Amino acid sequence: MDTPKQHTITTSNLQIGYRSKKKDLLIASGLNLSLEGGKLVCLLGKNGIGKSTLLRTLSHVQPRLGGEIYIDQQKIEHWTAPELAQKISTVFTERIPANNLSVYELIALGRQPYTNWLGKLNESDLHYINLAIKQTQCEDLLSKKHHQLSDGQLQKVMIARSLAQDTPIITLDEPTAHLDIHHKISLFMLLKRLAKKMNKAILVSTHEIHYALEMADELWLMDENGLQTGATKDLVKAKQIDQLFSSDLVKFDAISRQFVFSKD
Amino acid sequence: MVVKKSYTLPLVWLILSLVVAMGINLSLGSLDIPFRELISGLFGAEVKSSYIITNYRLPKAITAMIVGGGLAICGLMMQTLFRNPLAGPFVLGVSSGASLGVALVVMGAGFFTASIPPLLLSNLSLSIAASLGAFVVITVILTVSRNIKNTMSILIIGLMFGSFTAAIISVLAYFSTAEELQQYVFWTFGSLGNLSWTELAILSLFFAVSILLILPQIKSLNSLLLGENYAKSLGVNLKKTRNYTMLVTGLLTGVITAFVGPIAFIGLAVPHLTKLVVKTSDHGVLIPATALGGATLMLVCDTIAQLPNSAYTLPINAVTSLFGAPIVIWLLVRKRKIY
Repeated sequence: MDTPKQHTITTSNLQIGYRSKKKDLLIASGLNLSLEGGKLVCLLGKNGIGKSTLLRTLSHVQPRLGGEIYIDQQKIEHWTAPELAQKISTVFTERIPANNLSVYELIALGRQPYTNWLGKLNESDLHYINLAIKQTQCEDLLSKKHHQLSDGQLQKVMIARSLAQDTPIITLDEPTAHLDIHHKISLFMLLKRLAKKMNKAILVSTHEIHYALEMADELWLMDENGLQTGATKDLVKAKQIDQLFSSDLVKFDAISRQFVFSKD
Repeated sequence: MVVKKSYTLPLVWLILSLVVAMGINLSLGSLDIPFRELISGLFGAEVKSSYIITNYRLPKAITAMIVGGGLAICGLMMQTLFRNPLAGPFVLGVSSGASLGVALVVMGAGFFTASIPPLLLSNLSLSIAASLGAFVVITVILTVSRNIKNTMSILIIGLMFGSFTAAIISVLAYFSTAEELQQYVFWTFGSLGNLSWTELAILSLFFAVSILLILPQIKSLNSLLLGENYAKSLGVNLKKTRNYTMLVTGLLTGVITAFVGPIAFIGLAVPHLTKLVVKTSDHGVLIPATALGGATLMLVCDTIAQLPNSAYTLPINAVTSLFGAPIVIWLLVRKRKIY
């Protein structure tokens, strides 16, 4: 191929949703998406529109209903599960089950796709774990058990875990939901830095529209009619973003670049 | 920087307590064997209790260790797989399957033949019946759950199988003679002391094979601590891990139940007790630790069941719950979180 190797996810005519015996529940279809290295992409859309379903489908946790997903120009079936785990890491919204895992052990689990059959950590594993800890600044939490953390701290730790997995593609499902404003901004800056400096492809679903407009290279806007993608400034200019919430309660204010109350 | 904690010390403690428990278990019983005599007897010297040691106490102690260790490992794996602290080897209905096998042979024989051939009720035939019963239940559950994605549903299906087999046993018991009923009830009491060295060798072989089958699953079990979605995103083949774990648990529980009867409580409680001593969730550490813990607890229970210095023994199955259940209740009442 040409130029440095770009890690990508592309989809053609992708259909996402839930499969059941009687009738498939289609959430969205005809998705032709492209996620490239070096870019921070924010996925915006209202509650229940299918953002999490899309993220789970792209990170091969949930089966797709139709169409194709290509990872690094190969059909997703071409890769084995451990190979995919070295390409895509994920932060979900779900809580993790109650157990005795310490924060350090939890972050270290991110190295599983690389470790031997016993899960023994070698020098390079320790390097990536420590790097992830440093990047997310969770040094103080390491010896705690994960159930002793606040929601925000836990979210930071789960992000550290996915960074330790050291994948060129990262998907994050509402990673800022429980974070305070300081940590929200520092997370977005970290993701931006990872995309720019390490050429990672990063896809974040979020309700922080203000930060998304500020930081994202590209936006994916999800609504009932499907998905609009494009560079952030183009979408704002073309007033695409105005239609994100078809509600008479909120409207998009182009000057402050925020959704505001629509009463006059 | 905190580097991975070492769990060598708690493991050493567990090994030491196992050795002590074994020593006490061997020396106490209806006949006290002084410690010095026991040691020389164990190392082949001819002492007056040699016969008791090599043909009765030693096989019983080894059986206790394998049974305790095996059931505890099964419980640990079930609890991780189903992410449910109440899971144990019993919940998959495997023990019930074994019980049903025995019940059919002991009590159901009257339905099929006019008189019970005496050969049918030997120790070995009971073991075979129990193994078959356990195996049938595992096969059915694995088949039924093949197309079920939700692990919790499998747990409930297992519980239903337990109730179902229990009901069949009740029906059988209702129509059986007092003698048959008594024989079945005696089997459910459990007994560690009935195994010959040959049977013990079979049991050990199954234990060893099961351990070998479990080792490659340690990594997957660890990733399951994050939940099924994270496990999948770490490249774990969930279905394979699930089937492997269920198969190994079924096999191990089935064979153990076949030889010593349905032993309650150990599989459920030992993983929790062990995690209080060894504060980790890493299965690479937890599997040996629970095995040691289970073996020790089983030896202690057996020592109590022997009622030292008396001619009586208590049923082992009663002792495990009688002394184990209060411990777990006490731990919970003290608000120590158990996972």
